[in-house]
Amino acid sequence: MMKKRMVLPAGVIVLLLVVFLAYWLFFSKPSAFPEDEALKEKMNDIFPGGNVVATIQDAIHLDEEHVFVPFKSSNGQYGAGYWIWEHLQWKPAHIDTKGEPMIWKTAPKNFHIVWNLHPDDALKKADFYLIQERGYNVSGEEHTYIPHIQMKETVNLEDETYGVKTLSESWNDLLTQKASESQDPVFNHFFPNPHIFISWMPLNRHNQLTFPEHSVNGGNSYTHAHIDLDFIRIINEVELE
Amino acid sequence: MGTTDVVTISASILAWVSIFVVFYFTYKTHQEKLAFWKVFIIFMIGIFSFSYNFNFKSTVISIPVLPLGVWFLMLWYRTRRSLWQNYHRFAWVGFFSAFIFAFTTLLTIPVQHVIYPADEISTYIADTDHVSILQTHPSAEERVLDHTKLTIYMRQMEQHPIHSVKWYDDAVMESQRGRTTERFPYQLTGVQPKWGSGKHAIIFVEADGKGLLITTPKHQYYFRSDEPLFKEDAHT
Repeated sequence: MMKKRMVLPAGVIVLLLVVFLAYWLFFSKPSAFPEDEALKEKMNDIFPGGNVVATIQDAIHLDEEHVFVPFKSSNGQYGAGYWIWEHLQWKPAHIDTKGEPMIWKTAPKNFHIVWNLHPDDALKKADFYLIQERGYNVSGEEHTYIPHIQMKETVNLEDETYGVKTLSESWNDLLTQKASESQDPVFNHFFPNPHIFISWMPLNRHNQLTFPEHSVNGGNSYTHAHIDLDFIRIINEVELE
Repeated sequence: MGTTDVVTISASILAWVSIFVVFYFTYKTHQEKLAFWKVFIIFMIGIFSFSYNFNFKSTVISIPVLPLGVWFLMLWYRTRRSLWQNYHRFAWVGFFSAFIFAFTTLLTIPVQHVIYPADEISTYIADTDHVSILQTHPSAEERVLDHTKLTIYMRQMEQHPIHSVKWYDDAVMESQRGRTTERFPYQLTGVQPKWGSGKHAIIFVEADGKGLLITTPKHQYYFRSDEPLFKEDAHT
């Protein structure tokens, strides 16, 4: 029978086609990043209420598939678009009308701090801290001591309102160390080492902590696609050692 | 990289091979010819059991107690006794395969202990060439690791008790007086565990350079040497 003989080759062809399509969909190289005008149009298009972006300030490539796009918004705010290459197109995964520092995980061992701060906050620099709180644990005879970790990276905020700080290898290592057994593979922690967090200290020209009220709180954001993004909270001098 | 847990992987391969051998032998010696795929499904259902898990030296061992899969099949075939006569051994092979797993898991404990002793520094630091020191606390001083000393002292350092509560309280007391120093303000970086052990550890270094606090997901070990592991000429 002709029909029966056709089944196997047809099946093989369909299977190859599916594999090829999947490969094409997930592994094809990103196309050229869109022009500013197209970025603006797309973000205004998908943001609920529309018309948030007035001017695109820059497009900073964190890697081949992740681009940070700081912009000035139509109501005088400084915001940011988080663009990713996914399913054969460039798309804004997340849009924020305020640009307080955020941490973006672009790969399991790759973290970037990104920001776009309002110039009226008059910040001179930001100190970013990687912290693990000191702790101890006693269960029966078994003692565990968790040493305090406090590391600092300073960035200058005077030249531009926006910026990117790709974390150093040692910070990436600390954040991804497997620290405890209780790691649930289903529930994925932002940092594989749950004892560690990152915070920042906004400093004015007198090197004093100032609350950047124009850049923090009261913004609107919209998440369009999956993105590993986390807030960075402000830390006080009293919390430092 | 190359640091997966070779012993555990070998144990499960050993378990699967022995289960397959038992299953195949049972199949071959059976008088009546049965369809292999049917027998295999029966075997797979037989594996389902209610088991009791217990923790033996930080290894979870699960002992099957109630043969749920076998009971299910008994019910299923209760009106077809002759069929069940043919199939029941395969269901039981499935149930007993769980014992093989429990046994091989139990076997890994002494093997791990001999090849990768948990309380020896060399298990966690296979080679000292790429190891360096990272300051993880502001109270740390600029120090450089002395590779020769680490290589030599690693074998002589002695295990000491971890006074976790005291160390914590000391730091808290000090913070009330002002600047806090950390007892372990450095970390070793570039550390690879012994090949095939899968024993990744976070290793903190004591402020005086004489202590190593090896932190694994399961346990913590504290070792002391008589001499600091730092290079002497650096900022003294």
